[in-house]
Amino acid sequence: MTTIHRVTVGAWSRELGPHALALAVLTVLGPLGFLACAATAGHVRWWVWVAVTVAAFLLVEHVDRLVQTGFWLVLLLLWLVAVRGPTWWAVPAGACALIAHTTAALLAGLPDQARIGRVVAVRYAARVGLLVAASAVVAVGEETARRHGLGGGAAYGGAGLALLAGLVWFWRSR
Amino acid sequence: MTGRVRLPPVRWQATAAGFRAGILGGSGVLAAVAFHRPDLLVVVTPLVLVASWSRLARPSSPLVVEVGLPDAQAREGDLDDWTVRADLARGVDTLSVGLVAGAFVEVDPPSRTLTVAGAGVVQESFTVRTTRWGTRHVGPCTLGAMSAWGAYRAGPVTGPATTIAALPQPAAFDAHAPMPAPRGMVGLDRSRRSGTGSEFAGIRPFESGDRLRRIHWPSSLRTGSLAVTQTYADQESHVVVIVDATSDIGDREGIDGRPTSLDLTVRAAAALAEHHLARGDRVTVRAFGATAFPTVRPRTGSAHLRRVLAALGSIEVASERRVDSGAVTRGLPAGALVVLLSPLLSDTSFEVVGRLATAGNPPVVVDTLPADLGLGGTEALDLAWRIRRLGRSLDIAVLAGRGVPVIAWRGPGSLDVVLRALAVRARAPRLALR
Repeated sequence: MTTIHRVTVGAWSRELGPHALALAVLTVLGPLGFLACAATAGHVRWWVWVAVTVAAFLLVEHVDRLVQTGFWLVLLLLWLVAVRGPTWWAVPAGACALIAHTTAALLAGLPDQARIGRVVAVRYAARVGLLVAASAVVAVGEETARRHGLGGGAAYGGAGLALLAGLVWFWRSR
Repeated sequence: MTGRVRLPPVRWQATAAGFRAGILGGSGVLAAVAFHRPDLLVVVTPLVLVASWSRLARPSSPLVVEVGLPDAQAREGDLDDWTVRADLARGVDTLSVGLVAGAFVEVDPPSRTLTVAGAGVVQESFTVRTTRWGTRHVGPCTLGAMSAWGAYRAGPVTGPATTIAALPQPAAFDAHAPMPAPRGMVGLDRSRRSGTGSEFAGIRPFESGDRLRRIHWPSSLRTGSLAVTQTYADQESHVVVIVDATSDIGDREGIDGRPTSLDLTVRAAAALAEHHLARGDRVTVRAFGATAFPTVRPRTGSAHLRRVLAALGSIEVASERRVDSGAVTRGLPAGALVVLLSPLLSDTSFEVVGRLATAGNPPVVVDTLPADLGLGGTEALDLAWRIRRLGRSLDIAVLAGRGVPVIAWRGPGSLDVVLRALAVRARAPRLALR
C-alpha cells in the first residue's frame, strides 16, 4: 500500500526558501559541532576553527559535489590527529556528521523553495535518532569490551571489519 | 501539447551524497582498524549505516510519470486538475513536482514535494485556473525523485507545457423582446404569419386540409359551421454576431479584474450566442481584426455553442491594421439579426457598419468600451484619451443619425429596447417602387 503525505508548497526558484535555508544552516553547523566535539575531547588550534568555519560556509553552495566528501575526509583526519584515544564525544561528533550529511543530501535533492513538511522532518529526525543510537550502542560495546579487558583492539577491529565487509557486500549486491 | 502525456522513463543515478556516505564510512572504518581508534569507528558508524541503508533501498526500476490535464478545454475562471501520475518503484522516498503557470493561469500550489512510502501508483493534482479566455499554457513542469538519504536521484526532468483552450465565460445576458424577422422552420420566436405553433392567433372557418384536432368546437356549435383555431408559426431567427477585434484597450486583469474592451466584446458575444442558441436560433460568429478566426457556419444546438466559444477563445488581436471589411459582411442572409460588438475606436468598425447598412442588413451596434476605462498616467495621456473619446462620441452620434442603433453593453436587457423597435419597424408598411 502506498501512503502519500503532502509536504511542501512553494515556488520552484533558485532562491532558498526558509526551509531550505534552515537545511543550509544545519549543513554549516554540522562541521562546527563536529569540531567542537573534537576540541572538547582533544585539542584544536584556533586557525583550524577559522579554516573550517570559512570552508563550511563556502561549501554549502556545493552540497551536490564531491568537494564536500573531501572536506569531511579532512575533518575525519582532523579528529584522528586532535583526539587521543576513546571518548564519549565520538557519539555527538558522529551525530553532527550525520546531521550535516543528511541536510546536505536533502538540500541537494529538493527544490530550493520547497517547504519541508512535518512528515519529512519527523521521518528524518527518527532516522537520525536511530542511527545515533546505533553509534551509541557501538560506543557502549567498545567501552564494555575495553573495561572487561576483552581486548578492545581486537573487538573494535573485528566489529570494524564486519561493518566494512557488510558495506562491501551491500555495494556489490546489485 | 494537449491532454495527458507520458514522459520517457527516468533512470536513477547515484548522487554525491551516496558517494560521500560510502567513502567516509569505508575510509573511517579502515582508519579506525588501521590506527586502533575505536572512537573513530563510533564517529563513522552512522555514515556506514547510511551507506548500507541507501544501497539496500535503491529503487529497482526507472521512474515512470504521466502528466497533464484530462481536458484541453476549460471555461475561464473554472477550476481544472493538472495531475501527475507516477508509477513508483520500491525505495522512492520523495517525489518533487514543480509546475510553472503561464500568463493568465493560476496554479495552486506552484510546487509540491511528496514523501512516499512503499511502491505503487501515486496520483496528485494541482488546481489550475485560467483567468482569461484564449490559448493558455500550464507548465513546463519539473519532476524529481529521491531515494532514502538522497543517495539516488531520478531527474529533475522537464515535462512539456500543456495547452488549454480557455473558453470565454459568457456574461450575464437575457432578452425578452421579440426577434424582428424570424425566418426559419422551428424555434421560439413568433412569426408574423400563421402556421403550426402554440400561440393563439384567431379563429377562422374550416378549410380543406385543416387538421381535425384544430377544430374549435364551441365556435363551430355556436355558428353552425366548422371553425378552426389559428396559431402563429414558431420560427427561429438567424443571428449574426460580429466581433471587432481590431483593438484591446485597457489593462488585462483577467476574469477577476476589470475587463478590457476585447474581454467585454468576447464575453458579450459568448453571452449573445448562448442566449440565442438556447432559444433555438441559428447563430453565426464572425470577427475582424483578429490574426485568424475559424469559419463558424450558422447552426443551432449546444454543440454549436461549444464551437462558437472555441472560436471566440481563439481570437488574438492582429498587428496588421488593414482589414478587409468586405469579407466580414459578404454572404450574410437577408433578414438576419446582425449584432456588431465593438468598442468603436477604429475606422474599420464604422466601415463595417456602413457596408452592412448598404447591404440591407443594418446592424445593432453594441458599444463594448468599458465605462470605467481610463488610460491614466500622465496629464498628456489623459488629455489625448479625452479627445479620442469625444471624437468617438461624434462618430456614434453620426451612426445614430443614420438610423443605426448604438447601445452600450449593460448585460441583461441590453438589446430589448432596440429589438422591440426593430420588430415594430419590420412590421410597418414600406414604400416600394413598382
